[in-house]
Amino acid sequence: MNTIKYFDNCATSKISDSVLDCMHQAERDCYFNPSALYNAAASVSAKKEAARATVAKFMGADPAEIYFTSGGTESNNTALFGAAKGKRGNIITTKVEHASVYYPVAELKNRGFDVKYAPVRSDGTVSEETISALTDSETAMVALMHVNNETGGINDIKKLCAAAKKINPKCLFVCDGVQAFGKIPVNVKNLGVDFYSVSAHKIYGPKGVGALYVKKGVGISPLIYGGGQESKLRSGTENIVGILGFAAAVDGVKDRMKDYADRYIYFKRILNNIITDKVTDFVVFPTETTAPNIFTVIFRDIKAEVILHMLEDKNIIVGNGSACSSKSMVSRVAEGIGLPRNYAEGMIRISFGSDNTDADVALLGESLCEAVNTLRKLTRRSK
Amino acid sequence: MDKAIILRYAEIHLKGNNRGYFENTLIENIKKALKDFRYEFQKTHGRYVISGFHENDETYIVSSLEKVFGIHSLSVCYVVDSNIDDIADAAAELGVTSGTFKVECNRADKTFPMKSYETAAELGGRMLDRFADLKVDIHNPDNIIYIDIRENKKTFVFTSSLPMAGGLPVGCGGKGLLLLSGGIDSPVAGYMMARRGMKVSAVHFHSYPFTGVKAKEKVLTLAQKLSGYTCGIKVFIVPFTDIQVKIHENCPEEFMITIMRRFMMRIAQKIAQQNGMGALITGESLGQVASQTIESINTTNSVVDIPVLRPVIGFDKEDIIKISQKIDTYETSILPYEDCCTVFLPKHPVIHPKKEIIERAEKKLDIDSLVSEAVKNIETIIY
Repeated sequence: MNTIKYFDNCATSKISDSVLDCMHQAERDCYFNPSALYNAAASVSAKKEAARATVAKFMGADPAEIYFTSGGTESNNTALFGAAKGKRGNIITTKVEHASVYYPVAELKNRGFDVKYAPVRSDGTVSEETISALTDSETAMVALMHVNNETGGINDIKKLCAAAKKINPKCLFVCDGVQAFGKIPVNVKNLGVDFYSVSAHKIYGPKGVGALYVKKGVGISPLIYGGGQESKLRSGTENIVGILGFAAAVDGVKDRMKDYADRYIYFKRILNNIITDKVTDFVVFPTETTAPNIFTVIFRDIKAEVILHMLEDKNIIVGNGSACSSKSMVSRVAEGIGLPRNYAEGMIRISFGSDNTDADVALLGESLCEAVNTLRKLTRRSK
Repeated sequence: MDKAIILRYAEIHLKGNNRGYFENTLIENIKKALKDFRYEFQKTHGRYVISGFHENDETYIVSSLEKVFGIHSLSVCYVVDSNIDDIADAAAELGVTSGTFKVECNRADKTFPMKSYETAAELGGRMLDRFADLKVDIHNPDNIIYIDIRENKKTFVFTSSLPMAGGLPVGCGGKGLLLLSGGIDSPVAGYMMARRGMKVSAVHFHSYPFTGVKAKEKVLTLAQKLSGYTCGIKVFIVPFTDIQVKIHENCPEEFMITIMRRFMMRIAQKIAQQNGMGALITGESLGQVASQTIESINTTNSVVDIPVLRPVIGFDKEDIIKISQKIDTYETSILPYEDCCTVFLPKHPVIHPKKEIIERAEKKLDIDSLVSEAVKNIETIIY
């Protein structure tokens, strides 16, 4: 069997060998509970703190501002519910946020907050003017993602955060950075945000571990009470193996980010050329304003799920936006970015990873076009 | 305190000379349903007793038995030595502590020192002594406490009976082949025929890559859920893509669905004949969609000779949904994966097809070889 050519790295990535080695060793040797008083436990605790420093440094934070969690979803929930406690007013967000922001905000609406959904541009990003217009003295939180997980569109978080805080310095800015972390340069101090969520498994680390940055001095209540681990914000015996794996993953990408980005941008050009050459009626987003690792293409009159299976037959794995889910339901993302109905089901998300080669990308491009043309010949859908 | 489960059978006791056959089938089905448990099985007059099981298994045993057709009702009871003190202790454990009650006693063991009515009166008195909020009501009690003194010096003490699935033991009603689509209706149709004692197998038409692995898994999940009621189920997965493409290429668009369904019926009949099944079963409900008008049904029915059973033909969608919720297939049925029809769904399917016109439209196809090719490549899965 041919090896799998994996182009769905935004869903999750294949764990790297160096991370695996680190975790294997940690699983065997670092079994002591870091809260215990004996020396062996203290050494585990020290490794955990070193890992915290690695993650913190990679995003320009102080280690004391980094809290380990079970992943992006928990980080987002902790930030939103933890910061909302005791507050009222309105929350500004969009309909294209990841589910782990969208649904907690919907729940906060049930609990009495006003929610204002900011309109987005076609690539899912929000303009400074929009945020300025929506923010008022009652705004408690602004929750926006750094990189959109379906379109790859990059929000200018620095400007958006500044725009909101200019009008209401007290509002808290929650940023879901899961798709940005390790893909584009991130410096939380420079961005000015109060919360920033990241995850290990999108950068060749393990599933089940992530972190939340909480700016020093920002008040937050825990969701989970217990033994008081993670400075009382996240009780529960620490996932040491995961945390050490997370730091190893950061070590693996931190010096290669620029190289990866250059390579991925080149991949995008290859794909764009092939598709432009062979297929009609499609939409792609400009390279300059999207994350380097994400290439989203939306085909007219195509069901993405079918393309996905046709490519799968050739051992090529791509993602489909949440756009293609059922015959009656157009996804909130497709709706949010204003896709016409006959494009709404045709979103293919290609997200590159460190294993992809030029040849794989060319094969992907050719196979994708062939699949789209074959399927269009077979289906007589809305013309 | 030991527990036992008393099972009472349903309609079978009406079947004169066939009674042995019906009973043996039922016992076989009960044993099949309980194959993962350790227990003792005893056949007594007019009912079965299951005892000697681990107390943690009780819930699972009851829920497995709930799916066995032919059982009318079930009581979970305490089993104690036949002496009045132990019986009274067991009665006090039943949870009847307030409201009105009466005690009914059946004494099969004539050596038991008290007569039935004396036993009932004694136990009633002891219950009143123990629970101040209880009152006796002989005519219309809230609860009845049953005391069954068996010949083997053991007594069953229980309060209410749970109504069970009823119907006839699966296997008594011949064999049928269910066309299982993945929607809400067909699992219900299969359930209903199994309830009348039919041994149901299923056929599913799979159109990879137009429908994916998840769509197939969904159908297999439905089959698995049905298998509790059908005493196991065999699923025939028919590769259907080639036929769909051929129809699409050769026949008018508006006849797509009708011709596709005629192929499904032909293939199903072939499988039925090869496996000794006497009927086909579909989830058709009159007028629900274009392919379920009487003209469409007539056109698809006309390609087969064996009876086609349509147990939900006169049901409203809501009635069907209620049953699907009861048998726990609803949530699976509504999962939004592509089904085999949606990709080729014509904009304007013919609603009142004429058989002659459809037959003429099919002329371009080599029907026999398409059917045999599909049947040759069937994948079989057994639950």
